[in-house]
Amino acid sequence: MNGFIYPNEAETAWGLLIVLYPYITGLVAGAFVVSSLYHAFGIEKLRPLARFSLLTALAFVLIAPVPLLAHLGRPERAFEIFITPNFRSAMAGFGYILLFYTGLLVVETWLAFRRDIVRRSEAATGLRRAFYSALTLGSRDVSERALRLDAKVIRVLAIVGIPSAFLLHGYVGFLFGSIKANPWWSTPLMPIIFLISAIVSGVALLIVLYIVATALRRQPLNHSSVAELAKWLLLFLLVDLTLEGLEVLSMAYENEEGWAIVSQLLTQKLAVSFFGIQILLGAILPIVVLGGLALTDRLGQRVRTTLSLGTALLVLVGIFAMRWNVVIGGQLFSKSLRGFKSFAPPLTGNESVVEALIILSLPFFLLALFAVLLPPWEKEAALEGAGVPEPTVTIPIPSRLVGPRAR
Amino acid sequence: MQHLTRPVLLLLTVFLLLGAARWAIPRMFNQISFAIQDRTVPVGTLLGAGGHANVPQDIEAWKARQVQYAGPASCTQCHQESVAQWKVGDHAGVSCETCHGVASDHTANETPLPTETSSALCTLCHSTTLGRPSSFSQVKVHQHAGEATCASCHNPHNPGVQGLPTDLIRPKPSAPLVQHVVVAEANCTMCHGQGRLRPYPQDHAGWQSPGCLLCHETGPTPTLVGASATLGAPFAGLVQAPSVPHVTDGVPSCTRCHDSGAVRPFPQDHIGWSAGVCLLCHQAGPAPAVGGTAVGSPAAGGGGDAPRGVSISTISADGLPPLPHTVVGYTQCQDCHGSDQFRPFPSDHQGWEITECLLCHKSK
Amino acid sequence: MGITRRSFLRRAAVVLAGVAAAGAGWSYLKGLAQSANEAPDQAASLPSAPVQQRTPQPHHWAFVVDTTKCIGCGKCVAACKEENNVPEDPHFNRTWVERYVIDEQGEAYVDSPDAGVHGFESWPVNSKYQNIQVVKSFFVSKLCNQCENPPCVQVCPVGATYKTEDGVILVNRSRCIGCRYCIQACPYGARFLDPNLRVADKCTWCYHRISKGMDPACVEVCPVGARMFGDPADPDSAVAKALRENRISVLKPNLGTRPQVFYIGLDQEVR
Repeated sequence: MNGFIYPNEAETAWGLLIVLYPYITGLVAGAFVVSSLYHAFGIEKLRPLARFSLLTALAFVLIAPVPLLAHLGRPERAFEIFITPNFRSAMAGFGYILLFYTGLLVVETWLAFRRDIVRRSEAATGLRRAFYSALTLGSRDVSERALRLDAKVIRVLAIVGIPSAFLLHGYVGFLFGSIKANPWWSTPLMPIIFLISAIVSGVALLIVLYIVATALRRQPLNHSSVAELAKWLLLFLLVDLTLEGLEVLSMAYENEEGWAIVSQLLTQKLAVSFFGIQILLGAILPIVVLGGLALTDRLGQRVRTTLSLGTALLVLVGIFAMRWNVVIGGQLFSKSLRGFKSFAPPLTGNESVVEALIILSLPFFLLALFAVLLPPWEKEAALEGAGVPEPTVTIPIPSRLVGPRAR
Repeated sequence: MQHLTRPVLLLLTVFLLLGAARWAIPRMFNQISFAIQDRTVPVGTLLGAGGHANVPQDIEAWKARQVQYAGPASCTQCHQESVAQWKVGDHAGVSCETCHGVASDHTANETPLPTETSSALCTLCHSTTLGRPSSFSQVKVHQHAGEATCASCHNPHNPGVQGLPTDLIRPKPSAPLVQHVVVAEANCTMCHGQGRLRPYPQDHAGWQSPGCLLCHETGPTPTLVGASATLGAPFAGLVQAPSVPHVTDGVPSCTRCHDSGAVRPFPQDHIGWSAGVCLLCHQAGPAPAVGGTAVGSPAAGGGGDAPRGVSISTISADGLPPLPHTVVGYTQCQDCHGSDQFRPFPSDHQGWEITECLLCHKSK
Repeated sequence: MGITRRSFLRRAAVVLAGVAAAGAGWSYLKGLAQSANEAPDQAASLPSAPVQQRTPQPHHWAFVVDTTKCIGCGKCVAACKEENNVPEDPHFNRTWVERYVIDEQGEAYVDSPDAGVHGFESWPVNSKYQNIQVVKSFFVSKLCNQCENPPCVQVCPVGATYKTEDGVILVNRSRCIGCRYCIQACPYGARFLDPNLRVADKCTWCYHRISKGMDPACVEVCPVGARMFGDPADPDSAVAKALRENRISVLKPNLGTRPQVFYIGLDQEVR
């Protein structure tokens, strides 16, 4: 601690778990957007990833409330937020959005995998059969007509899901951006910065997961899908960097009371994690690499994919640094604007590094479990159902967007 | 197309069950609770049994909390002697429990309330500390008292000099003697201090009389004298103060005429002094020819050649309009003259009495 | 066939939407209905809501701090902890005292050793100013400002913190979930998470005392009258007199919180 802080500020109210929470919801929103790029907008190159990204979003959204719950002083009262909400609170509305969004993802995933569930329930025996039969929810019709109806509902949900995903993460930004007591948080740009950075992190996560999963399955990689994702990543990164730059620039230029302490925060307390990791490693370097890839077609596919993987990893670290810089950075200085304190999460125990790592690993385990229960890769799903005739139209709607109707 | 009806119905059922549970479970299980670490959690709260916070109930809960500081009123019932001392002293504005601590248990159950006697209690407020207003009594504790505790000299209920035992007035050999008698009406700092008639050293800044007498021994008659009138002008020899050029007998108050903004203002450095101290330095003239007793000692050296024994009207009548009528037969000048009468007088005469009019205005 | 299918689809969509809305919203609709019937607690902070039945006193309290009088003895901080069972740990305070030291260059140094609970007289506390050319120095005591427009009440997701009719912000301890959003939202650092109860805590202006006609504990023990409490509507009260006879300011007026703790002689360096 240097300078003066209010005595009650010695405790850091929001620790590592609250850094993790916007990080995970961001990945949800981003992964869902990737899935919707295919399901709603018919970006064919992303078709191999569409089901997988849906499962990813579901796995992460189910874990998203966990860090919050673990952070609460009285976790046993968590349901109060749904039952006795204060609608003037940004946080109260957020609970409903998360709930709605989780429901939407569950329904969409069930519809997208319904055919596979039915197939597996027919192919399996014993407990396995009972499990998949239960999952069908009594709906066993996988005729072309039924599947076409499913696809339409999926498309509606994918479209509805995009504003919901935006709302989900824009809202997280609003939680911080609406705190007028804190000059580092209080900016109307905060929701949109959170939103764009969420998409950035989700796209980067899917690049990494797709490449790793394919390698684990010893399958050939669809390089054009990775290239497509890299293009989207570049686009969102550019917007993200612009907004973050604009935020700091306008604060500096307006030079209000709070800027004196915020400028010290950025240049002293957060110098490494803000300029070094968030901006340089997490945004500028990836933009240079991805921009280079977009401008040249000389490099081979493997090199391009490897570079994309590298930048995606950098971006994932950079976005984590961004969450840290907002959540922790905003609490490193006193609201008296007169001094700083230090924060280092404990290694073990409450709000610790170990706890955060465990929670962060949960969605990956959950995703692995989902991938075992439901086939995330279309081709394998098709092989699995070799006995059943492959419907001619699986996803009719995108084709209507990109070309003449298939029927 | 009917393939979705069953799942939809199923979902509907689940939601209905959840709703029913939401209604039923709090009612069924609110009495059952379990412990997490050191706190008790009613099962019902897991499903929001708390319901909407009952604000009136919560307000009552806050109101019902136990009072700890009982307030000074509860002390007076038993501790009359201490309270009597406390009421007249410099600590009259300090609540009993500020020093004695929380008393509600003591007042309710007569449990003993040990009295803190260490000097730390006093120095918390009275040690010289950066940030304290300079007007607040503070001492450099070691210089002030050495190893002595505060309570060995000061009575905490009446800690000022008035409350000190007289044998505690221990003159310091190095401190100069007071060259004059000490008069109760006069505060030392009226004359002694920065910007005053008789400055004292820098390191005395902010000190208050009568604390001065702790170190400075008084002169030949080291007594506090009550009535200055019987002394003549004891300080007339110490300061070059002009004698009063008129009789003072019968004059109600010097500051009627002599004050800032009055008809005969006195010097700036006299501002704030009360009428009772004027004659300590300024020698009054002898009594007028008619009646009255002489005051002041003729032997005391008074400066100036102003005539003695003259009435105020003699020296102030110049330029004053003589009264155009006789006063015989009138009861009060103010019957006709006054700010709201048909013969107004100047605003600075407001509130003067008939006897005062004739001090200056000559009757026909 | 196509038409029937479409109409079925439409019906299915309506049913789906209806089920989702009814199901997801069931419990909270219930909650809403309750809030309308039972206690107008959500509306408590809205000026339009008439809540007469729980306002025995028609007071609207105010607090005055005279910074020109404060001597930094810390009695108020200690008394608050005693009266309200506030943890002894100096990181948890409902009130505290800050000292401002301003040097020749106009630089302000601020400290609050142990929140001021032990006063400021001890040697190490003062020794750090030995090499500083002090121009002026003074104490400022701080407490919850009981804002007219409280950001903490606004952000509480479960409505556990609320404003009473007489203008005091309280926390319902049986309802607070310990999310600490209110701690972030308070511009004055007046809130903390009670380490034992794991719920938010703050100054109540000694609600149990003032509703019995007593002064808050900090006001009671202040030896120099630097803290005053009362109803400004009563012209004979100390606060009414202080507000009448002095130039008054509040902390961080630019944030629009409209504090009800008023300061006499507040220096521009105080935030």
